[in-house]
Amino acid sequence: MKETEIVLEMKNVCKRFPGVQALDNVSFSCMRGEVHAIVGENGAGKSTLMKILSGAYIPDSGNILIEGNEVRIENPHQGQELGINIIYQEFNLIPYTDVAENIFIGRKPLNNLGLVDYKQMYRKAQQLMEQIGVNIDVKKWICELTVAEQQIVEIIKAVSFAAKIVIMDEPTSALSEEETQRLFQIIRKLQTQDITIIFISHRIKEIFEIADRVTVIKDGKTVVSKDINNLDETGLVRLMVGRELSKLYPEKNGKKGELLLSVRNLTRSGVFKDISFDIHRGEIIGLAGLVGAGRTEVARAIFGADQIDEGTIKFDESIIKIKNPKDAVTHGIGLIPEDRRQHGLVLCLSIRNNIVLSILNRIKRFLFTNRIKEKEICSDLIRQLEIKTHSSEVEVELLSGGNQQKVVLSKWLAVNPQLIIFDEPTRGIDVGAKAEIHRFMRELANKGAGILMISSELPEILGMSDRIVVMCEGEVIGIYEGESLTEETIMQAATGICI
Amino acid sequence: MESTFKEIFQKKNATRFLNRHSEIVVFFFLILMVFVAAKSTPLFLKPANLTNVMRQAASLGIVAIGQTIVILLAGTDLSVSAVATVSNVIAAVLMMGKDENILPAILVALLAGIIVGFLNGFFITKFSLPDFVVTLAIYSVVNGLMFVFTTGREVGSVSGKFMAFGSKDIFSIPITMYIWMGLTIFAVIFLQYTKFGRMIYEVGGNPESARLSGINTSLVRVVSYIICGVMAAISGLVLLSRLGVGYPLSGKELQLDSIIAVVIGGTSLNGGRGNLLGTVAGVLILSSLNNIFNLIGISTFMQIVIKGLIIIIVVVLRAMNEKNQ
Repeated sequence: MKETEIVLEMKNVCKRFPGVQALDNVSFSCMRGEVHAIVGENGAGKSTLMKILSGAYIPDSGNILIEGNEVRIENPHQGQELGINIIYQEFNLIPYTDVAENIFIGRKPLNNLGLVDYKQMYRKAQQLMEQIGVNIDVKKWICELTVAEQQIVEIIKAVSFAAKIVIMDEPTSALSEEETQRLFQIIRKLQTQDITIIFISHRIKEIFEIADRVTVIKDGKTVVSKDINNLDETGLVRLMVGRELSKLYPEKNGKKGELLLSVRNLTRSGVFKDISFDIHRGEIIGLAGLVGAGRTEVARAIFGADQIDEGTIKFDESIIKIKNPKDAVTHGIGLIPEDRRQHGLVLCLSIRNNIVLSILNRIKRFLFTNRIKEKEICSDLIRQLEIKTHSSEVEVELLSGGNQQKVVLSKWLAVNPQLIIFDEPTRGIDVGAKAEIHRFMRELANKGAGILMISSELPEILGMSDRIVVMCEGEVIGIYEGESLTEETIMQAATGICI
Repeated sequence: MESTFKEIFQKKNATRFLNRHSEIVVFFFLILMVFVAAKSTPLFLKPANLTNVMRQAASLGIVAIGQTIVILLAGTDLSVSAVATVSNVIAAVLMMGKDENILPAILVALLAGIIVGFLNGFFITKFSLPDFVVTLAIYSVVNGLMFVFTTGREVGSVSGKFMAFGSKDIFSIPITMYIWMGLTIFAVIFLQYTKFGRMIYEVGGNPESARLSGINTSLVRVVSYIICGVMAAISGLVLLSRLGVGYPLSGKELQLDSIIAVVIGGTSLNGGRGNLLGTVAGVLILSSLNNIFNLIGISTFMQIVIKGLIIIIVVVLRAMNEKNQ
């Protein structure tokens, strides 16, 4: 066992923003070479804490000590010099430049003439790659890499800055199971180099897999800092949420209503082939599969966002042609997209504007929008979905991930949909909001809607779905229900038959 | 087994090479165009004509160097023609036909370029204003001042030595062409091999990431606009060496033509992609085009129409290409 030593200590850190005490005497410490998870609901104060560490915010009071010395971090540059590197969810990479140049951004190795020494740069980049144990071509452009590979470049960049502490903000939210395991391998390697990792995540299972210690933050206060060995999953969730989530998922519906949607032999060349399944009213159908199986593509095709080459779609017993999202909306089909920030919301507009986006036609008065009706519909939905905001005029950009997702949902509820497609509905959302969204999905189904849910989180898809359609490499492998809804069966289907 | 792997590897590298060096395609078009031009009129390939084309290309090309750098930052400099004109007029007025005045005239002209470039960069970065708006405004002000100063007429005069620069050739290639090539070589080394040059690509590729990585993006932008101003000033001096006098309309077409040349050459208007070699090809294509139009006798108005069509075609083709990547 290495001798442990405290490398970072935050003592009684406070930060107040107008109207809210974001951090209230928060204290925690990290040992050298440990993986320290920070968990807490959205709005609990995690990101404020991290921004203080990285130099984006300055605390009102409190001390930060690095290796026993008190420091002041007033800008990101200073944070870097102290050995603190933060990897955000949206990476800081230059797309049309190669990996090596990105690693050495702003600080290229120079030769005797004062010019950039490309040979040395590529050599050093290659060395760093080997240090981490990964093999990515350092001459590839960033836009040629997958999301997981880009993340690795970010990590290497951080390490090359002689980082002592690497903060990762929700690092696994865009990764597949395989890629997550590779990330964990890299993290363990970093640990052997005495680098401390601060891991912010909502994924309880992963935290138990990779973290050594965990700090729970709730309402701006430290709840507890503990060794992961002294906790179990339910205990951790309880600490985060402050209440016991008695049932992790809402109760499933035994009854199947009438046939709502029936797709037969849907094909789009090169993307998916012969997709057939049914959705009944009152059902939640899970669409499972590995990243790249084609699930989002099928969903988008049903919604009219992408075209179909062959196949039929039957809605309420009659064959329909959906050529664009407008057709879909007219039939009562809604889509909650994977990337809510890019495809689900207009970030600079208010909550109200976003919610009424799809129904402007219905509530207008001659040529003008009916402001009163808008506000009515809006406050109704805000209440129903428990969106945490003091006003409907707030820009959605400022909301937390969970609340943003609720706004997207409200938008579609306003349309009164018969069939709603959810693509990764709770990605990047904290446990509390997650449960609320799940509850809401089940309520919608109980009221007679049909739901198609795409999720990469096995527990979620098993917990929510009445039946599960498993896809692999663009084809349907099987449809499972009842007894065969187990992790092993689904996982096997998703991977076993594909080589 | 090994050989097939090598095949695939080489093919992949070949596509990557082509994607990253789109200027090869542009040079191909240049050759094609020269071929077509030579076929349509025997006058094109006459040495005197080619020398003429090169002279035109030189003054456009020098401006295009600066414009390339600015466009790499996802910006545009619409003030270049005004700067060229200012440089032209000021140098002519200061020289007044005397050899001893050459150096001060040149220096002041360059200074004008630096000042205008700085003003552009300053207003754009300090107040976060769009490049388009700022450079256009500065163009209007500077150009207007020039007209007021010169009352629309030719002013000043150059000395014999200076004139020689503009009219003499070495090995049948105009001296100004050598100046353009020399500046291009320096600029290529600058962009590819200096820390600052790489920062231009980084700020152009993703300004926010560059900023968060510790790069002073404002400084990069201001310096780039200054470089552009200096290039435009040099171009103005080159024009002066041909005209012999300061003329307020001398740089007129430089702003749009320089942007067209850069875009044809493959540099993306969104920033972060492209290089000077493509611009060189673009400049040669544009200059040859201008020349052919005149030789064939196409009216100035028709020339503008055709140029516009070319821009649309090039930009659409590029957008389709970028989409496929």
